[in-house]
Amino acid sequence: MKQYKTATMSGKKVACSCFIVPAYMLEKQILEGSREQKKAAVYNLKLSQMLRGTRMANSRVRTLAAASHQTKRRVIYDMEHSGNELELPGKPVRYEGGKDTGDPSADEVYNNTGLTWDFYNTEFGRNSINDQGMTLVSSVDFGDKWDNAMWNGTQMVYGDGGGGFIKEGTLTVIDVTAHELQHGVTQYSTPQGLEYQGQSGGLNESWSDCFGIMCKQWVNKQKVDESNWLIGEGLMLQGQALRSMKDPGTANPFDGQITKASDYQDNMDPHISSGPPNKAFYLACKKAGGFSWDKIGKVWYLTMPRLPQNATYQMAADNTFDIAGSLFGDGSAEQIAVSEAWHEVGVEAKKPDVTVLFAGMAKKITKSN
Amino acid sequence: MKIQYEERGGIAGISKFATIDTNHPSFSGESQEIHSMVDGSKFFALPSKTAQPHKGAADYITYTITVETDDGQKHTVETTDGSKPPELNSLIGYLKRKAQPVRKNPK
Repeated sequence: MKQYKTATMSGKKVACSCFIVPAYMLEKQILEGSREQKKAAVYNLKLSQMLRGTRMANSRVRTLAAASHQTKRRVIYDMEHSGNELELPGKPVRYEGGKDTGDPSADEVYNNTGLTWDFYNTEFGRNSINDQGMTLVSSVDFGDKWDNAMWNGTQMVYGDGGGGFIKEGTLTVIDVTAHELQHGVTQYSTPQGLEYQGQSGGLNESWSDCFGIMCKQWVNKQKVDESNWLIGEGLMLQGQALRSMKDPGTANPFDGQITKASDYQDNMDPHISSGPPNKAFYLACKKAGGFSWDKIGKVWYLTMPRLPQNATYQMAADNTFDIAGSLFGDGSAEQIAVSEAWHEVGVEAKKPDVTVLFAGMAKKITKSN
Repeated sequence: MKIQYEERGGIAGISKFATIDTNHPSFSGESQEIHSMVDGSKFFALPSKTAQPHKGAADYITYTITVETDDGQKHTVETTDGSKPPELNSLIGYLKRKAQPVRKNPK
């Protein structure tokens, strides 16, 4: 096994000897270390426990992570219908703990980004988007009837809708806020982000839909059989939703999302090529049963550090398969669920090339954010 | 003046298109407004590709606009939410209202 003795993080030398530091030392580092040390230690502990095959290692990590300082911080800004990016984030209207503003979109974004933070913190031990307590910055009322919501690399931006395709005032629902926030999580949890084109673009979008629907199910305490697996239900003026994870390409009259990996083409928009991994996640969750975030959600979460910036469907399949084996055992019902799910969308999961993956993980650990 | 407009991406992933011909009778009432928005954006001085969005950004809409004047001057600008020059806001706002999506399935 390769060792990475020291690495520079935020300009400081930090110990980063992956997988060979005893767990108790990492735990000590989580409780007593600097912010950088805490981050590296939580990460190493998760990885080493996962690689040792410790089942549900997260619960211990979660307790430890909660012992370090974790505070939810939100700020909501109002763009007052300006579509000028240079004016972002706009006028601050609500800070953490502040009273309702009376503006439904500002208040809904405040509440839903709060629930999304709670979801990641409770189920994955995650401290905000970057796992270091980053303030959740959201701007509402962007543009003139802008039919969109986005993550711009540093914050979330919401339009009002009403531009002809999206119903006015609907873009702030929980699965959309969680979808946008996950784009930030993907940015900080993969070694170099996922390029927003090709299959990596589709995976980037898919991970946002997966965590979007999981967060919605978590808030509604829904088991996998109780969810309709629609992203943005009721948002479109025509059709039932933005996307269907159960039946990609059927959510609305303009929905061109593909289902099979063989339908992929290089020039596709990421929201089209996200279909096969979306459906694979849905199928794996259905096969594993229970709550999505308990089993398959954990697998998908821990797969992020293994995805290089140009990741393919195959790499996602191989690594979810491998991590399912590490978490639940090789040949476990969960691992079989994952491989059968990918098979149904046309990808055969196999054991990945471990050497390459370790290098990628080490990069993530030593990355300065 | 002719304008070809395409937008793709955004959280809905819907592609939309518009074709404008200011010499066509259907645009006669708006011809002056369109010309002034194009002039106001200093369209022919804009780079053909504006700055890329911030690393990690997602769900932004990508806009591709081609303008051809009656004397044959032609220029294409590709830009995105998050990086588009503010000078283009009114032209994009207008073209957005004219654009129609492609229907992908009969349901």
